Amino acid sequence: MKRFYRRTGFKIFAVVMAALIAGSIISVASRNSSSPLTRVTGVVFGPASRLAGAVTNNLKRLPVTFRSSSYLKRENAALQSEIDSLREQLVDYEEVVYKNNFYKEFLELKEEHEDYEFAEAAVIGRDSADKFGTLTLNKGSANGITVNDPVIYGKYLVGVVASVTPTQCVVNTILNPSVNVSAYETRTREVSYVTTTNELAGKGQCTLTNLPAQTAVTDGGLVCTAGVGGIYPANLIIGTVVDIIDATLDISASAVIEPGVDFSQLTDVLIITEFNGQAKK
Amino acid sequence: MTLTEAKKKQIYRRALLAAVILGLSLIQNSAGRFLKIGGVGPLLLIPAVVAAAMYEGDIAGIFYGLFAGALWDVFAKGNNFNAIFLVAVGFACGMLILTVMRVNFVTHLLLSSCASGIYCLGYWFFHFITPHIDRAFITLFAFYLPMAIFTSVLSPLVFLLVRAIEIKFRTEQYTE
Repeated sequence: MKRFYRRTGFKIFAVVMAALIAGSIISVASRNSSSPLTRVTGVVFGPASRLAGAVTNNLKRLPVTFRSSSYLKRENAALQSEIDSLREQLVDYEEVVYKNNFYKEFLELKEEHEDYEFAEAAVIGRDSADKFGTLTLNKGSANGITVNDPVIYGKYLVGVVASVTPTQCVVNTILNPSVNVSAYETRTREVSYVTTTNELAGKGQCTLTNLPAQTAVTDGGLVCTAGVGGIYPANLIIGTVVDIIDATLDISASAVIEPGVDFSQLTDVLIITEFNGQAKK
Repeated sequence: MTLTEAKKKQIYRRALLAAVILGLSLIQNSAGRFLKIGGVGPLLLIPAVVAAAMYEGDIAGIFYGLFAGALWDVFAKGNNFNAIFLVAVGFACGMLILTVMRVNFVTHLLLSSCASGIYCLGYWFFHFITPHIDRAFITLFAFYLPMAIFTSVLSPLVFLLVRAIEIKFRTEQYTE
């Protein structure tokens, strides 16, 4: 046993583990919630992550062409070449339309809220081990992003920045039970907070909880952020009420919400870095 | 100073292994639905670190685990959880091969399955049981155990890839 502890391998292992644990403690204590090792790795390998994200997001848009038999190949070659060219143009056109719609929503939002400062970001990765679907974005502290910055898609709330490196950040979506958002229903003006449970998150839903038992909230109601707490600005759309459930442990009720965003299809988002009423960072 | 042929092969081999780990990290944590079935994807970095540690030894296993874990933590919460786990896996697998096991397909499958099972159970325990998330046991059977099984199913492919690199650039006879 003593020989084992005297081995060079064990000594290196002990030193590396001590450094990693110290890094973990730093990440918990720091405002970025990320360790020095993660920050350095994010900067060095960030370009590779972005490239991989772009490739996997565009894989489905690759045109697939089929070659006919050798007999017909000569006859159809010219037509096939023309089809390929038109398909490439169609791909470019769809990309332009998508970007146009994205920036149109951005412009409307900016005109409505002149105090918002935005950073545009692309989704470059998702942690496979996290069931609730965290997103990794290609902007970090070098772009002014900090922990607790809200993330939106158009007028819809996506989630909140959980940890930051100089070139990337990780976002917890509203389908993560650790994310709680003060919110209100627009017709009845009832205020509470939106969270989710494991069961609801599995269905892609969240809940406006702790409503009074005689709540006037009904199906079809729109739930928006209330702006209480200084993390999320007011009046960002969270989703639509699809059901009202009575609590089993007390006399409150809760409204099940279908978010306005399909998180599995997100490729581009906006991060609000500053707004009036934001809590001090 | 000129490098010996053996040293050059060792450098190429280790650099190629590092590139494989980088590639598997990008595949594992890609933004799209690549290699995912029903939302469940394999944790390819675990069998990669196991295979690298089995062939390269405990010290190299520590550093491959550190590299793989650091890459994984970029897409996770960044608190070194994955780096700590993969460093321990790299060291443990390297030590087991040195003392009681041989490098072959069966031992790699066994060690990868154990490591991915421990990771999935540990992740589930710390992120679902300790914060008292509801219906945690359903998540275990619907997400984390399938993830461990999917990883085990694909681990032979990772082993074969690492083995091919080791055979191509070997500097000593391997006992398999």
